[in-house]
Amino acid sequence: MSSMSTESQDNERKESYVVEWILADGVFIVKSPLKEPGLTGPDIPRDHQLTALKDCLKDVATQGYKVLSTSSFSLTNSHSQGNSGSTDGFVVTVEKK
Amino acid sequence: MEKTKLDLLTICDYALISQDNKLSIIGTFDQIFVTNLPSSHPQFYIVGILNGTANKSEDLALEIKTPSGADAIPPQKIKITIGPNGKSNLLATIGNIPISEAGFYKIRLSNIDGVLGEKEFGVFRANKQNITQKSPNKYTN
Repeated sequence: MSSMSTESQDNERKESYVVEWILADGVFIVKSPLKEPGLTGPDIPRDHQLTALKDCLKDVATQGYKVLSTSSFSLTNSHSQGNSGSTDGFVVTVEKK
Repeated sequence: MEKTKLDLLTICDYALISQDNKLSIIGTFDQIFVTNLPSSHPQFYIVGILNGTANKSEDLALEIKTPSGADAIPPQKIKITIGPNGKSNLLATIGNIPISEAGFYKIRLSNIDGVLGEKEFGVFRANKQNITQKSPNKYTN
C-alpha cells in the first residue's frame, strides 16, 4: 500500500512536491515524485525515514531544483479502542535553478 | 446511518493520546505573530473530535488554506474509523509550515458529504520590541 501525489503552486517558478510514505508492515515505502510514475523508491526501515528524505532532497538537487523549504505532516486517527490509522509525509517546496 | 459531525476542531502547541486512549490538548491558540515574512512555524497540532456511526470507516481530507486561498501544504487524506462509542479523534502534526503572508488561514476538514468544519487562525506582523520572549522571532496566542 503506497501513494504519491504532486502539487504545483500557481507561481510558475515554484512547484511543490509531496514525498509521502505510508506505513506498511513496519516498512515505509518512499516515492519520489521526480522518478518515473509507477516506480517506487527503496523500502526504508522506519528509523531511516530521515535518510529517505535526504536521498529525496539529493534527487531533487540533481534534477536542477533548489529546495526552498521542507515541511512535515503526520495524521493519526484514534478512538476508545486504540489507533486505527495514520499517514505521514514530507512536503518539499522547490524552485528551478 | 448517522452522518459524521465534528464536535471540535482546534490548533494547539501539543496533543497526545495516552496509553488508555485519552486525548489531551495542550496550549490552544489562534494567533501567530511573526516579525518577518515569509516565515514558518516550527510545529503545531490540529485536533478534531468526530461523532458518528459506531465502527464506520470513512475518508477525510484536511486542508490548510492561506489568506489568498492557496494551499499552505497540499491537502492530506486519511481513512478514519469511528470508535464503538461513536467518537473518534484526529490528530495532525504539522512541522515547519511555510507562512507566506499575513491574514487569516483556514483549516478545513471534509468528508464525502462536504465540509465538516473549519478553524481559522490569524497571522500578524509584530515589531520585535513587542515580542517579549527571550529569543524567538514569533509567538502564538
